[in-house]
Order: sequence, then structure tokens, then C-alpha cells
Amino acid sequence: MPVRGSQVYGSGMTVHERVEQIYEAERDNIYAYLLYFGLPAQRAQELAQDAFLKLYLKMSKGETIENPRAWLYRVAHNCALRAFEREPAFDALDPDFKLSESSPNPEKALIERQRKQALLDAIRSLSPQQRNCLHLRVRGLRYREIADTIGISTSAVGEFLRRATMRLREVLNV
Amino acid sequence: MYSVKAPHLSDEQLARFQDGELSARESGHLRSCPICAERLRDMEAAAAVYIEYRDTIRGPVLAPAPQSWAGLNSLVAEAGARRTVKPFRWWPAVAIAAALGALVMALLLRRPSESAASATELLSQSARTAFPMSRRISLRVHGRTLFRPAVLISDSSLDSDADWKRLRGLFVQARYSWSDPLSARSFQAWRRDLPEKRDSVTVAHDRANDVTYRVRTETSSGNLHAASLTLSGPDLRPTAGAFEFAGEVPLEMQETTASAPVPPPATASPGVAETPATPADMLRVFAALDDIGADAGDPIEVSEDTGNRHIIVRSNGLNPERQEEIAKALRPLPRVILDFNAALSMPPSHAQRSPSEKLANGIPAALRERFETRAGGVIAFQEMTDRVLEASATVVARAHALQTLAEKFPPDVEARLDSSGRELLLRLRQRHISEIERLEARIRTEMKPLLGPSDDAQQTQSETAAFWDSARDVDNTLNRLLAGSYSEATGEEMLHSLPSQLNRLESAIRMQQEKK
Repeated sequence: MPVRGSQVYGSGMTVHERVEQIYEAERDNIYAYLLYFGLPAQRAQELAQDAFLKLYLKMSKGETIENPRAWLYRVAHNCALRAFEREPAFDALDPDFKLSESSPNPEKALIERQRKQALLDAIRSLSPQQRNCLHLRVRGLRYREIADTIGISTSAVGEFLRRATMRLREVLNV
Repeated sequence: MYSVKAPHLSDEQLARFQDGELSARESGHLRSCPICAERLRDMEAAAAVYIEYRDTIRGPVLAPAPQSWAGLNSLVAEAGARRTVKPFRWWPAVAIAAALGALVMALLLRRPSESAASATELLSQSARTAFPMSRRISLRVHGRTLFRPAVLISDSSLDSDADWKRLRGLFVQARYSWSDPLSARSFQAWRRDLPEKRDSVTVAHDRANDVTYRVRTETSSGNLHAASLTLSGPDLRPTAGAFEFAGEVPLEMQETTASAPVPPPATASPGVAETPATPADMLRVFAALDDIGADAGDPIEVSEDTGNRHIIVRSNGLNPERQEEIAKALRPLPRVILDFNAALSMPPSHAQRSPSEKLANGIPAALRERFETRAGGVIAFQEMTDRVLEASATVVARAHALQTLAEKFPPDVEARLDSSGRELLLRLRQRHISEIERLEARIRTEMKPLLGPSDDAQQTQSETAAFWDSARDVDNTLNRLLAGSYSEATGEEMLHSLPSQLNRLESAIRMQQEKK
């Protein structure tokens, strides 16, 4: 599991240094999270930069943010919801999505394609909420932080993750 | 040694173990309990699968950031500079918002031509959003400005005009949707089928200084050599388009709010308008709508025009498929006029409640926990909430349909119907009542675990209980209880009053059945 924000960003730094460090480390992740909601790249980048600026302004006013990374995901999630008239589904893949191949060896390419297809089918079989919870969990967010980000209860997070785990085990026999 | 008496760890505790935050005692349990260890392995395997998917399948196809990242220093400096020129220090929130807006604008203005926003991405994003069916567009051609609905259900009314006919021919030849030309979906469909094309995206700003994207596609195949669509606002609403047909002056198209000569609404049977519409005509309209389930739930109003010559069926916000279905059902009926872009005065409906409303977190923690336990878990409670609120919304829609029938066919009007008309009216009423009865029983069954033992002594048999009032009361309570925000005391009060409200609804059903 990835390490948490508080472990990465130690104390003893100025607010500016701290936010800059977070910005360098997390901007691509926050940007990617916004893309998963289907936002255009340009818009996602604008919103990601806005989120970090908000973080800086908040922290420079002396406000304490226990886990800035979780806070950024929450801001990004809310921005994504506001950008659409209807609630967007997390990682709603185009049904015509084509898998890329990287191996020049035809035999290896076939095995790789089959593996990727199975993975893709397995993830597609999850609900958007399950995918979102799993995405945030592997990014290192706690249950409470995932719940705050998505706006559901902690027990619902547990249930979504439990079902996702069961589903992936069924589909992939992992 | 593993002890069978030790309680197993929760999923959240297992997650805390993964994060290195579990106490020594709980971690000790994990080392000695094969069941918890197996669950932990499952969780780790699922996370590994997701990471593999993210890193090998999804991640590589995500668009890279279109511009280089602005440094935090410049983000803050630009925001700060903006704050100093705005005289709103006494209102920091406004100043910050203005600074952010200016910063985004500055970033975009810096290198507008270098925008790498993908045409496909912008069009897909815009195509996913639903825009109001009542939109209108203007077309500038040969010095004339023509107006029409953005989405045409039937363009027969435009056929008498030579310019409309010619334009339609051009669009049809180009295989570009004439019925919905100012839409990303139509643009995508045309663009997708082109054997070769060149895309460009430019970023600009509209009068309100909001960012707009202009997607332009050029091709050497077909009679449409280039088309562009301007997408505005956060939802990328198509607000303008330009079409360059071979040998034609460019055609400009714009979304408009200007009042303009509105083409007459499609008339199902225009030739028989001389005979006044009768209550039987109206009844047949209701029956036809009922046959396709459009008399309860869809935003439709049925009325007579001022001269009682036509039955006017008004609606708004229906998708094109549903409009076509309704038009088809009413086509055989005489003296009917359809208006799919009408302003309606319908009662508030909960039928199109968004999922986020259904998942509202305003339920006090203690009550939520009780509901989830009694319903059989978190997911079971959420699913039950969806079913109950959907059933309740349908009850309200059916009760409203019943009330509409009562208003349109009071006893004196009903008496003027012939025997088949009276029979048809009775059948329509009965369908609504049966459906309400079925749904009320379903709501009662679904809510039983939450309500606990019923108290029959609370049952009221008020003769004045009305369908509409009782259905609305039940719906209001269910919406607030299952998807609203309230205190624990208010929640208990609602739980207490719901059985009597359901009893009132049941009484209303019985009274209606006795009246038959």
C-alpha cells in the first residue's frame, strides 16, 4: 500500500514549501482522478491547479488540514460533480475501448491481450462507486477519508470495497 | 494459537493493518487467525488487480496534461496580484474566486493556439450531457435568419420553405443529422464516418469571459468540407456551429433565445379541426396515453383550446424517442395538437430524483445505523430506499392522473359520455387505483422492518381522505425520512406518523373502490 501524506510530508517546513511538495507529488494524481470522471484534459488541469491553490490559501490562513491529499481528492470530486448537469459515473469506459498491445512477439501479445481483457472485464463488472472506492483506497486513503471524499458513510465504503473484492475474486479467481 | 473465541477483525481494521495503524493486540489476532489472514490476502489481491488495471490499461490512455504545470509560485503570485487590484478585500471569498478565475484565464490566454485539448474528448464530453429539449437555433443563410427548434421531431412544417428544403438536402447528402445539427453527438456521428479528416481545437472566451472551445473538422470527402462547433461553459454546451458546404456560402448556426416566428406545432389530423372537440375525444387521448404509460409520470398536460376545437397535448423535457412514441400513439386521433416545447404547470415530481439525493447523508447516525441493521445491511438499505422512493413517486403520479380524470370528467361530463365512453373512463380510473393499491402494499412491506410492529389503533377512516393529499403526504415523509436531513427526534416522529399516513392512503383506495 502507498504511504500516507502525513508520512511523506514531514513537519518543519513553511506552508509554501509543504504545499509545493504536495503539488509536485500529487498534481498528476489529482489531474488523473478528474479525468476518470470524463472531464476534458484542459478543464481537468485547470481544476487540479485550482484545488492546489485553494489548499495553499487555506493552509496559509492557518487552517489545519489533517491529510492534505485526502482533502485534495474531496475538492477534486466536488469539482467533477459540479462540472456536469448529472452526476458523472467514475471511470465510465467507452464500450468501444480498444486495448493497446506492447509486445512485438505474437504469442506474448496474445497472452498479454487475454490477460488485459480479463482485467478490463473484471473492472467493468464493478459499479462506478466500487471503482471509485478502490481507486482511492489504492491511493492510500483511509475509509473515513474515502467516505468524506465521495459523500457516503464509512460503512458504505466498507461494503463497496468488500463487494469489489468478492467480485474481482470471482471473476479473476485471484 | 488461534482462538475461536477471538472476534474477527472488521474490513476497516484490516485496512488499518495495511496502513500500519492497527494496535499490537489486533495485529496479534491477525497473525493467529487464518480466516482474517485470508480476508486480508483477498483485499491485497483486489488492490493489486486494480493497480495493474490502472497502470497497464487505463493509465496509459489517459490524456497527458495539455499544458506544462504552472509553478505554485506563479499560481499564488497571480492570485495575489489579482487580489490587490480587486477592491473586495472586505469580502475575501469573492476576491479569491475572482483571482482564481483570472488565473485560469491568464493561463489559457497565454498560449491559446497551443491548446492540445482533443476534439474527440471535448465532443464526447459534450455528447454525454443532456440539454433542454426546448432549445431553439437560428440559421443565417442568404441574408435571411431562420429559426427552428434545435431538435426537430417532424420537419414537415418547414417543407413549404425553399431555403429549409435546400438546407435539409445539403445535410442529408453530407450524412449530417438535420434533425439535431447543433449537437456534439451529430457532429461526432458525421466526423466518425469520414474516411480522412483534420481536427483543430481553439480556445477562446465568450462575452462573459467564460472559456469556450471551437472544434473544427475539415475533410476532402463529401459535400460538407468543414464544420465547426463552439462548446461553452463547464458542460460544454454547443452554442454555435458553422458548416461549409461545397459551392455554398458558409452556413452559420447559433443557439438563440430570441423570439421568432415559431413553426406551428405538429398537428396529428389537421383536416378535421372544424368539428369541435368533445369529452369523448379527450377521453380517447387519455386512453391512448395510458396505453403507453404516458398519463402518469411523464410531464404531460392535456387540455382543450379556447374555442374547444382541439385537444392540446403539451409537454416539455421528453427525449426524442418518447416524443415520437407519443406522437405515434396520438396520430390516429382527430382534433389533437401536440406541443413538445410547452411551459407546463405540473405539480412537483420526485420521479427524476438524482442518485446523489437518494444517497443523502442527512439521516442521523443512530437512525441510519438502525435502518441499515433492520434492512439487512448498508447496500440493502440503499436498494430499499431506491425501491420505496420510486414506488412512492409512482403513487403520486398515479394519484395526480386520477385527480386529472376527476377534474376533466366531473359527473355531469361523465353523464354525457356514451356507455363505451363511461366504461373506458371507469377502466382508466381502475387501472390507476389498482396500481396505487399494489404500490402502497409494496411500500408497506418494504418499510415494515423499519417501522416495527404496526399499530392498527392509529388507523383512520376519514371519509374526506383524498388520494392526492394522502399520496403526497406519504411521498413527502418517505423522501425526507430516507433521503433527507433531520434530527433524530424528527426522524422518530416521522417513523411514528408514517403508518397512519399509509392507512389514510389505504382508506382512500377503499373509498374509491366502494364508489365504483
